[in-house]
Amino acid sequence: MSSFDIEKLCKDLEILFKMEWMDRPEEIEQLEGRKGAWDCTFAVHINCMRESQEVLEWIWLVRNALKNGHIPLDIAGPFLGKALTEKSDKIRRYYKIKELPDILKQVSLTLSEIPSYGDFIKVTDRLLLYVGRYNYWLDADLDWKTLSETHESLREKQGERVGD
Amino acid sequence: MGKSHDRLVGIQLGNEIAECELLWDQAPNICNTIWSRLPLESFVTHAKICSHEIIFMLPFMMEGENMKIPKIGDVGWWGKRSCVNLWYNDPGPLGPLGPTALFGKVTNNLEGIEQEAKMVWAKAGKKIVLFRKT
Repeated sequence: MSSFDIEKLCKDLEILFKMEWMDRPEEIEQLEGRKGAWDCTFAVHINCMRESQEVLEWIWLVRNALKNGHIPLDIAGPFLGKALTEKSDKIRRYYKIKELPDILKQVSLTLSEIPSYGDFIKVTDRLLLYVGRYNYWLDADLDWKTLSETHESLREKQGERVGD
Repeated sequence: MGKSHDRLVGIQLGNEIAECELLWDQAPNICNTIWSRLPLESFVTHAKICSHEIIFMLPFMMEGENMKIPKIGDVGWWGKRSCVNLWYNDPGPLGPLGPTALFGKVTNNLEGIEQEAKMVWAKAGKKIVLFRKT
């Protein structure tokens, strides 16, 4: 991967991040209509949110392990690259969205051949911001108050737990 | 470096405006980075485990400093999520969840923020603006 390609990838991530800073990514609106088991849209949405949160955890963990000298660059790059490839494939298959998995795939290819420590940090910093914002959009779309109240009310009504 | 009260940050959330004093002596890098980039706008979500805490992302990364257990009215930075945390009331039985990079304290109209924050729990995505008050 040439430094030019890394510059372009970083630029693309910055542009996308700025575009979506105060405007919800279009595909999140499409996600709202995705029906899972028994036509449940909530399960699809919340799982996608959790999935993007896991992506953040992975990037943060490996990036900090590299920064703190716990793993070398030639392990950190391919390792995070592999993790992001798997997440990209899973997100694409499960939620039928495109933008997020495409970006993850693109970054994973770059990380596998990362030429320097500085470039690794530069790319992962931008990816953390982009995925972070995406995750906040997914979070903001969920009605936590109603979900929580409904859950409590059902628990009280049912008075049973699994296995009872 | 100015004194805390020389440079107050205004926090506008919905119809309420609060004042935040920056902890320049304890978290100079975070204070400086935020102050130099004001005004900033974002949208707010509510914490799920820690009670009475709102969260909003800022569009840059910063290292943590002044790691302390937050109290009511404290304003902190969570590096992993590039977000500001604001504790508008008691953090509840499971919170606070650990030391946070504290860089500010709401010194005026925390109750206004609390009113708006309760609405954020019902519907997230409310716009927030940070600006130079003085």
